[in-house]
Amino acid sequence: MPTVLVVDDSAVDRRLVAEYLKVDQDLHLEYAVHGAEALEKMESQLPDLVVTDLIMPEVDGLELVAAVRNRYPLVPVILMTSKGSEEIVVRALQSGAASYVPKHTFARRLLSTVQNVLAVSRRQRRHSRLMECLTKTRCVFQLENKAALVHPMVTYLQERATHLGVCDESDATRIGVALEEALANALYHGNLEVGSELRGEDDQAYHSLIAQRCQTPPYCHRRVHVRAELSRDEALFAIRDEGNGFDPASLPDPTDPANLEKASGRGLLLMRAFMDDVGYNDAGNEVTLIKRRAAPPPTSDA
Amino acid sequence: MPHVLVVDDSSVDRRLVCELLRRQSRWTVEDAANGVEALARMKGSSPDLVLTDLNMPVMDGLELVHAIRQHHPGVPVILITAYGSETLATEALKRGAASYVPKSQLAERLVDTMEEVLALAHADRSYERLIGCLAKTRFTFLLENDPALIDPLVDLVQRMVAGMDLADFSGRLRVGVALKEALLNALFHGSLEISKEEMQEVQHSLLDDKDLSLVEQRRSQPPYRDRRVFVDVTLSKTEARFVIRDEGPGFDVTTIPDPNDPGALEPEQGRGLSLIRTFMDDVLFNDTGNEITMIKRREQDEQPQPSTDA
Repeated sequence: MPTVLVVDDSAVDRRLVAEYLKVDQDLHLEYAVHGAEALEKMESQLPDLVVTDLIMPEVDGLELVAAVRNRYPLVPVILMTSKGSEEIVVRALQSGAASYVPKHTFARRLLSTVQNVLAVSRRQRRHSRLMECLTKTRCVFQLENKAALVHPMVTYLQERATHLGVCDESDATRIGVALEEALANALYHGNLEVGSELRGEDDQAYHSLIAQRCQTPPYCHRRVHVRAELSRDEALFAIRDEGNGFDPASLPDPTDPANLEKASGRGLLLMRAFMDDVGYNDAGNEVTLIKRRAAPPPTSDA
Repeated sequence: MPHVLVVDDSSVDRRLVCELLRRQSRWTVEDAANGVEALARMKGSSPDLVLTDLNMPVMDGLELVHAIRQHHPGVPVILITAYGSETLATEALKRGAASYVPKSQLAERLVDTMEEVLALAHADRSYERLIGCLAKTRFTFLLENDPALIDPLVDLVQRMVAGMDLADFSGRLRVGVALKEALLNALFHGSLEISKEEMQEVQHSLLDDKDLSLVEQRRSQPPYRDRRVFVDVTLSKTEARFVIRDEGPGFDVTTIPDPNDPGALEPEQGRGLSLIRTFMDDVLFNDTGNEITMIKRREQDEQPQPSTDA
């Protein structure tokens, strides 16, 4: 039986909401008169969904959305809005509310919105429970030279690493930064052979050279090969381009502070700082990044 | 460089916005005086984003949002709102606009909002494109005895199979059905040792969403409780391979009839196995009957893709 926590400072509105939601006898309703009381109640028992007014004393709707997203990211929040609150609604949606229902459309919309959001969140929860049962995974991608693919590729690998518990959330960001550096390097320096010298000097020329090479052989036929092997203990990412490579021995020593400022050393410095191991093949067109699990795996006696 | 179409009936406002973007952003700019003109321009080439005023003669912002959603669903729209147009703006956001910027805050907020919206719009389409670049993947799961884990697993596999172009819509569905049967079998017959007769009762209660008392009871009892279902999924551009193993007692695999024998339609193992055999290209069991391997090859009517393997 899903529990819905209704948050509104007006007793009349609370009763109104209850009337519409009680049509679905499967829903169990709880109430709070403002955001602070809602958070207090959530500490002792988590609802499946929060339905909240926006303008309230103590903690208001906007603050409540932010707090719930922070502390209970799996609990969705639906906003009840009235005329004049449009600006706050948009901000609340941006900061994580799942949906909203204008008060004058309650009769038509409130129950169906609640039911839809509950169904979506149930599906998501099941998906994350499934991913917690993942013990290892591997994947091989062949990416075209498109900047638009870098970000989703990074997100995909970050998610896998987080599911397997190789990294926590802050590590996930750092792993993401390292992967982004490695992928951008393979794409621009490796496959398209565009150096970083132009960057910052003449951005226009830098971008147009990239656009031109994306259409010109041999550059346009090259691919970035991404191989990832992840288990509960370790994540390995190998990123290879089809460019000319370089002599890995010529890399500036990233541990030498004198090299901190050099553009060519920056990506490598970040990769070394965020990963446990960074290695190149002899041809210099493949970098292998390894991140090991920091804490010992939790003993499962459940 | 991303391209934006600016729509506003006031030439002063239009120039203001265009100049702001030329000065402060990497965007290339084009403009139109109303919704009709905007749609006409979009017929030639779609911009990455449309930025529109709400109040305009000849097709206002609301109608424009509606039309863009119909004819160019991939192009996000940002509204420029003025004091007093809040109701119209809310309506436009509901109808499909992606975000809005108040006229009074253009200088501070416009470029950031455009970049955010563009990134989000790309994230959606790029995920599909990313899965299209997947050459090979493998997932290994160790599942608890919880039927709620089966649907999300089938869902994940179906989406991957679709993204990798291994099967068309009906092929995808058939892979899903076979995989689900095999997982149900491993979980209920294998791990929990629920018999065929008991299973009928379980299936009824699954359909009616009733209390699964027999299942719940076994799930909390040793030795059933400690059993896990091992699932290994390997997908490549040429085939999908599934290995599913339970920790139950297995069964005598010699009792499985020859699938080529027409009398085999009602085999010992029932409907599940005949669905699996019909929908998969190869089905194998290990000797103890607690592990099934199923293979589905890429459908023949599709052209093999040129390989870019190094």
